[in-house]
Amino acid sequence: MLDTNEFIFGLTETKQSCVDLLDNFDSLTAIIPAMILREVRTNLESRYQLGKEFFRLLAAGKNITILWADPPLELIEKHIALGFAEEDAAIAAAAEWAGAEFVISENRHFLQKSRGLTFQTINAETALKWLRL
Amino acid sequence: MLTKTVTVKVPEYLYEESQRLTTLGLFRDFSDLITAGLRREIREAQELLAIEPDDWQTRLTSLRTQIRKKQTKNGKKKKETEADLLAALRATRKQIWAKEYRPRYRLGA
Repeated sequence: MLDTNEFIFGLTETKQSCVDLLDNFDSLTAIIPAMILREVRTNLESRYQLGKEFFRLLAAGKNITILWADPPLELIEKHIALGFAEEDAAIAAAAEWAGAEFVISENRHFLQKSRGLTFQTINAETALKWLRL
Repeated sequence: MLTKTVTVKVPEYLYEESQRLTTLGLFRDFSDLITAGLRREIREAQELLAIEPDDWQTRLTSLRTQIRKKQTKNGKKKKETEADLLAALRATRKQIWAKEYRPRYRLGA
């Protein structure tokens, strides 16, 4: 699962590892929760009026599953108890619910956590190495 | 016009806001507002679906080019730093969670 920052950094070419990750996105099996979709769209729209273009991009992806349903409350509460802020707990809950193996993020609030998680949190640079992209 | 009666679940805050707009006379009633929203969403979705699909790399390159053009047009010659952008993304996440997603759950204060 890719966090919002991977898409935004990769699209705006803010960070090279994120650019490379998006360049290789088609070789990943990716899960995108609806909340991340909403965040990326909102950010692209407010900055560049290109929110809808993100959907056109996703339509060109081969191995993308969009998780439209909201994750259960119990999983959000579990991740809050693990120290996540509510809004990050919702993303972590979606990752667990969808059975994601990795959450790829540049957000230190994610990267600093590992205890009790059913997925590994890595940044784009590590993902490129581990997933041999 | 033939109509169909359906039951929809909407977040409370959206329902309350829709009641306010209806009271102000912007919509005849809740059904009128829902119909207007559906028309708009369906039109936009049809526009998106009508586009010939490209491959990922073509579409990615195109989107990056459009972003670069907008950045130049907006006068953002100096790119936001990674830290600035991360902070802005966190703020957006917080807002979207609080406004759209949190109301769907019964979380403690």
